[in-house]
Amino acid sequence: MKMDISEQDGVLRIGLVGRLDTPGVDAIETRLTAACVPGAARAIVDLSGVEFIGSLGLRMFITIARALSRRSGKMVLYAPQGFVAQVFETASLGDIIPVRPDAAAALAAVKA
Amino acid sequence: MESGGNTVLVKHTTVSEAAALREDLRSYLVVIEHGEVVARHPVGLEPLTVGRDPARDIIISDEKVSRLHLQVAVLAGEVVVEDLGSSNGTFLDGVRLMTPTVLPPERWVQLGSRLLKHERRSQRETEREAELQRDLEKARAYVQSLLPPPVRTGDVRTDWFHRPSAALGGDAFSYWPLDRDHLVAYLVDVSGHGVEAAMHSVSVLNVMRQKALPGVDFRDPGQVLDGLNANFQMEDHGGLFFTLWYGVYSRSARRLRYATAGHHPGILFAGGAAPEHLRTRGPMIGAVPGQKYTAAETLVPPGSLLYLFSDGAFEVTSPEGRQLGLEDFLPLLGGSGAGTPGEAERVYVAVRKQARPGPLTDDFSVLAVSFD
Repeated sequence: MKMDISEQDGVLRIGLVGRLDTPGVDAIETRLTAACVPGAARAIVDLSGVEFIGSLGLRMFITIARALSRRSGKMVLYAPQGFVAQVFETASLGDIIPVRPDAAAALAAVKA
Repeated sequence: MESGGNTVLVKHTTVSEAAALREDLRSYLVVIEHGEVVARHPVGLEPLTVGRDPARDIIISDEKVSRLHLQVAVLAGEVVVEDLGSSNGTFLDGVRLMTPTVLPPERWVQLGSRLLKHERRSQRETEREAELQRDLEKARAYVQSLLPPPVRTGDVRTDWFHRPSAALGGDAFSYWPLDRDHLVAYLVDVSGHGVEAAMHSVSVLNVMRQKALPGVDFRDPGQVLDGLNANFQMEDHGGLFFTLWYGVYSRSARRLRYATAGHHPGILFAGGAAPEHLRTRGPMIGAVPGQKYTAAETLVPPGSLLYLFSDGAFEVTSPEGRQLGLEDFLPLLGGSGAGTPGEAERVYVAVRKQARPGPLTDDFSVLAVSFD
């Protein structure tokens, strides 16, 4: 599991590549939470390179998104592909965390 | 003087304990499959044979492993691995073994997709682990005892197959008559797997068994999901949530009312050309405070067959490493004789054939309900 984090205009841009299965989540959860939650970040997360997400991956995003919403931060996910998009649809994840098709739409949503 | 004497005594005991522990250490060969330990065998002077043939001491079902592949034994205090002329070889650090070779502790050889690792551990550690395993086994038996027996007679019959990925899993399901007319069936899949998920699924099972949701009419799937969501918010339950398929069948009306929370559809074969996908929109239980769930309904003609299953049934990886999904799983359902006992296990066997060898990575549950 690979994770890149950079900041631009006060927005964290997070790129994930790999499988968000149990080992994948274990590899990034602490760093991702530390990057987003304490500073009440506004963050957009690029999922175009994620080929699998399991329930622990969903749990990680939901936990961070809920912690951020209590601190007036915000997380927006974008560009889920194939399998991941299907899992998001089944879980109605869009009702919990904003999910957008691309980076421009995610940026607009995170600044809204 | 006395305290000095004690010091010597303490030192003496510590040294001899350490020596005893060292003597106690023995070598084990650990079989690792997709990163998980699947077996641990003590290695001694008597050689252990490894291969695909059922007559071997360590059996490895992998097509790239020969019937008699290698042998392992302790020689002059070292663990020595010898490839016995296998077709695809045994590799240590990427180099094929041509002669008997010492395998140092904490190192491994590869054969096919498996690793055999040399592990040194004490008898005490091994016993402790065996004790933990026995406890897990008891816990597994307890979870299994909460699952209802298959119903083989009457107008509505059930068949199921449940296989946790670890000793314990987060899948659970049940069914029972609410009254003379109504039958309930549901399936729960807690996020993650292992002990934590199993404990959560047991508490959900018990709430459902005791109908411990105040003011909820269990004939109304929307109310049941609302009630569970109010009681199982993830912040109050160690960050865990669960997906759920819940349905109520009315015999007199031949009507099935259902609602789902973050769960994929139940699949109903009702005599039509294509099976019906039974799902309503809504997030997982525990993820959104105050969420309102709605139910839908369908008619159940005589001879219908309903499948409920966890995502571990279809989120498997093919032998080529491709991620499979619901569309690969659905063709395995239905067909002639599908309503007979053993149907759920048939589906499990079919999924195993689609998946790469080795244990499935998630809990597997399939519940099949047939209606006269």
